[in-house]
Amino acid sequence: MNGILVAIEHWPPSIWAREDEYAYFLALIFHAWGMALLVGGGVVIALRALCGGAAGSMVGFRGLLPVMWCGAALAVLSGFVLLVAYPAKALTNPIFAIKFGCLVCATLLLRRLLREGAAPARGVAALCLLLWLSGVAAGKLLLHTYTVLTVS
Amino acid sequence: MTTQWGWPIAECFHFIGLCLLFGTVGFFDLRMLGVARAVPLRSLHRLIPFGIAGFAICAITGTLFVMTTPDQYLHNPAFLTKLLLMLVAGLNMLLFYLVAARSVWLAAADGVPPLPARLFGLVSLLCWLGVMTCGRIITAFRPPAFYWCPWC
Repeated sequence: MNGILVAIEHWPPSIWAREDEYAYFLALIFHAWGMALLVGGGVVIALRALCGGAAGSMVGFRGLLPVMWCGAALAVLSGFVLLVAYPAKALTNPIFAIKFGCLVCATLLLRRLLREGAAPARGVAALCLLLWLSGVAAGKLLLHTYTVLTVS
Repeated sequence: MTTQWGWPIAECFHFIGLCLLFGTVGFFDLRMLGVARAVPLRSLHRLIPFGIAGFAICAITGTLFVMTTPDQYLHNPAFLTKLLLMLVAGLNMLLFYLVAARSVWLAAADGVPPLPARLFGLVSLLCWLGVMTCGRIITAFRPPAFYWCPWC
């Protein structure tokens, strides 16, 4: 595993992402925008379901999904640059898996909230909101909890 | 704040607050600009109190950051620009409720508000995206490694 991570760190795009004056920094900004659109949309839908979304009233909120998809695409692309720059730092940190787990589970619950005809369950909405916000908090904790840093 | 987990926990809450703020206010702005017309504007507007709560969380945690390391912020032009953008966003919101909000409530549920209201939405959206960007720049170019402030 370590051999693979070291090989990635010596890959020219990884070196570029680390050493270019703007690449890593711009990826951080785009990641923030992408996550804001993705999680922001998720938070809105979960809050709406939590605050009295009646049966059928959530269908219109599917209109937010294209915006969230754009945010997800931006977050994934910029996140890939951040990951390639410091693969060992991220992939050896269990918080990274927790972040992904929270975001994937939140997305699955979101689909359930937007299901046609059914009134959204408040418990599901609360859990969905909690998962979105936990995913963001886990992303922030990555900066403070890594134990392996093989390149600087 | 200077304990092992003080700063990271405050950062987590700062980003959770930002998600609540951008999710509710940012998506209300996007809806005013004509995105996701199937979502009734009033439904989104009902969630604005969560955005205000998010702003309060950000303000409290942000104040803690500045009080802990004032030299990292007060001599950082990105921080001053962030404050300026928040001021513009606040004034924009005040003017929106004084001038254009009525026309938004009178518009059809699936319609696009009149041009002045859309302009308020655009200014608000750009301000909050700018606030997020400045927040990233603050952390990337901190004094004393970077003294890039033209007026400090």
